[in-house]
Amino acid sequence: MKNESAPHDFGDDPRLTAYALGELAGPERAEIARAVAASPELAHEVHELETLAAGLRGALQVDTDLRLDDERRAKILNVPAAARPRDRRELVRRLVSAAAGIVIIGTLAFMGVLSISHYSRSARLDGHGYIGPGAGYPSVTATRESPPAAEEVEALQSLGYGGDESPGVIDELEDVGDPTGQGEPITLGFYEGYAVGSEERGTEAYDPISESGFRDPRREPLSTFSIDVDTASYANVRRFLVQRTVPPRDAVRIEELVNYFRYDYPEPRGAAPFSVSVDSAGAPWEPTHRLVRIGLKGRAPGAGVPRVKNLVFLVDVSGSMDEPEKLPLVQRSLRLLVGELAPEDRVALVVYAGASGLVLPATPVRERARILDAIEGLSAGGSTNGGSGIQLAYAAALEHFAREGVNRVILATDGDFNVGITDRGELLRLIEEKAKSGVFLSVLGFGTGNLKDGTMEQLADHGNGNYAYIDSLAEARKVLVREMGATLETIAKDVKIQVEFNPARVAAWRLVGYENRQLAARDFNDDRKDAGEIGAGHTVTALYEITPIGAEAAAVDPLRYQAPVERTTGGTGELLTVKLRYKAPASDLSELFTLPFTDDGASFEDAAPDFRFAAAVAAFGMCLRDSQRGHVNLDDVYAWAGRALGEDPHGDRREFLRLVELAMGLNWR
Amino acid sequence: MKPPRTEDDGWIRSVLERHEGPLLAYALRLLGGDVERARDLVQDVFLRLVRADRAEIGERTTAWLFHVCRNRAVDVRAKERPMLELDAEETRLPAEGGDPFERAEAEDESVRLRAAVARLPERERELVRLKFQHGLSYQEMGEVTGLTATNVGFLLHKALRALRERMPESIAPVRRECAP
Repeated sequence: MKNESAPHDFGDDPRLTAYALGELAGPERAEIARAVAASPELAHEVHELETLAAGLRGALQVDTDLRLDDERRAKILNVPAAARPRDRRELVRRLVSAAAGIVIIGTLAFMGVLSISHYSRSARLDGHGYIGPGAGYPSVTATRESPPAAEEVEALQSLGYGGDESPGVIDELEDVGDPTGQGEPITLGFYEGYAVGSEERGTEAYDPISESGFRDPRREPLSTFSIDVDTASYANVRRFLVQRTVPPRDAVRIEELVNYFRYDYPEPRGAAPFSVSVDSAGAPWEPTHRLVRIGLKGRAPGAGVPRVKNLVFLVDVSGSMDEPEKLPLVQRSLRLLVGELAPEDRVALVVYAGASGLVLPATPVRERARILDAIEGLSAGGSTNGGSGIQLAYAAALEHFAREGVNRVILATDGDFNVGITDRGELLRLIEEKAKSGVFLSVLGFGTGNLKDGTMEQLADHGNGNYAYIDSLAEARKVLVREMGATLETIAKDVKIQVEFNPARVAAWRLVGYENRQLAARDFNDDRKDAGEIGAGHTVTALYEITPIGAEAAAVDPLRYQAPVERTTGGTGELLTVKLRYKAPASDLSELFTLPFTDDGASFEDAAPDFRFAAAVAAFGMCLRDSQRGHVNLDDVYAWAGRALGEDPHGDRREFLRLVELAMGLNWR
Repeated sequence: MKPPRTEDDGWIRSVLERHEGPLLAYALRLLGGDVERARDLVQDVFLRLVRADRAEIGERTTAWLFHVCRNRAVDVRAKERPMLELDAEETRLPAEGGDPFERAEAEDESVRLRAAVARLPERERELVRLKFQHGLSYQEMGEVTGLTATNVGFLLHKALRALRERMPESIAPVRRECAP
């Protein structure tokens, strides 16, 4: 028994098996992980247990294609709803309550231990570094634990969660922009069978994504990529799922899924345009692996108090708008804009054609579903008569005039601008006069062939406004999201991230997502190389999955010709160093800052809800992409996300849960 | 606009589609490969799910389904085939199943692994299957079988040790046993 040198014989400890099977959490997991890291023998043992487990999974694989016969299935599915005791909301309500830290005794007690009780623990302070440009060293800040939100249940119900009655929310938008300006292929938005701004209709095309596998830091110590604030892939995936179809693999860009959600990173300090924070926890799908999260948070818009927006959409619904690239694109553009507004902002909707009318009185964006429904309900028909329409729009804007805020009429038309006031001079005077009252005009032109370019530009000029031509959703996104209002003012451009891994700590690494954003290592210091922009208030998240030394089973094949790195090199316990470059919006010279990071070994359960939610979203992407990385299934994703809803002010995270459910209902063969 | 739907329709359907295959496989095993009986059993489990208080099931649908399936199987067997072991003999199903996987790799280590599993005590065999065939967590396995999670961990650990001892070195050598 000469091999038994470990102080404690973990070989006969059930916890070692539990560890290898990914069943341990928290301090127990950390204890075993330490022991494993310290003992090659135990590491070998774990590796063997993992091999055996994999063998058993293969050997015992059953034919899960077995199906009930139609008759029996029908019997199950046709039980009338009245015979069902509770509706689906109940489950979600439980989850939300649990997420809010309310312990439900009784109903769930029979289940035994509730792991959701981990939630109420406060986040780890150490290991969560913060740095701003100019700071010479990282200081430490805390991630704020989301306080329980008592009104979450109501918020959930007002969201209409659990039913299919809010198509406007679900079918929102999908598009792919090109914020880096690198000339990457753009997949324009597709919606219900036609391609906007494209000659081709009804065919969808996606650039293949080849996932980055694990890399050995001795061979590839650097990971370089451009940030991406796009979220188009999420909306697109959502569209597929809502239509009960499996999204094409390459439509799933994991970083865009993750970045669809806002995370609570610390506000930047001083003059820094954004903050950078790094934290880590166990990877939920592979507890021996570490998940490292890099979070960027852009400075809040307008430096001071956010400006409330009071917007009136004035939409041309005349017969000429009844073309795919006109009214439907207007609708999508407006929905996109609504998605960017804050709950306290207001939106009203006025249409003009044969008859004009106030379709939606000024409505707080808090009631997003109502606004989206109204936009959804627009249909073209009748002749154009914009005169009374434009007066109606200004009246609506003035009625809810926001002092210190943004007051704006947004006119969307194909240019057949028979506004009722036929005298152009008279019309311009009207608009000019209204502009003095503080209500400005933006004109959005749609479609081709009928565009009264000059008129529209004049209108906008006289209305203290702007004029833009929208030929595609990508353009709508640019105009309405990137250039509209202070919320999305660009605060830094060409933001690049480069991570250097410490081979003394990291056996293998992989960047989760960002496949299309990879840069060559040398591009990092090349200021001519374009990269992504970050807007005010934006958050950007990147996740790395790391196999620590000691848990490297099956990650990367061993190197035959490289000298092994001494574990003492690297000097420190640092896991990695994050380097960031960015330029101020008007500058051609980049700033650099550097943030070394030491892993504190936190378990997944102890991580902040935001962290867990981001991980769940990434795992969802891995499921959808049928990724080989980790053992992920949708049930897990649902559970991880359900316990990490946090405040979820817009219901986005609950919508995510619904998408996971939809995915569960699909046939993945 | 979308056609009106009952609120729960999607939920039941999604659970059914997700779990019917694994549950049928599980029920088949429990009932010694009797396909008709397994279908009846699984239908019954889902009808119970439909009628169950979903709030009580919470997010633990998988454990609930397996638990009910197992209990129903025990009931059925107690009435009809009292002599049948809870977890029918390992070789029974593949022999009649004609699984192409089975046939193609008759000689390979999967077969040996299955044979080794078949020699485990009944309870351990059941846990191994719940874990590796159905991917349940310790917690869920506890809920299905009525054991504590700790007990599950202990038994599974024991089972894996036994398997490693029985399997040839190429698959899972136990170094301590092999050391001179």
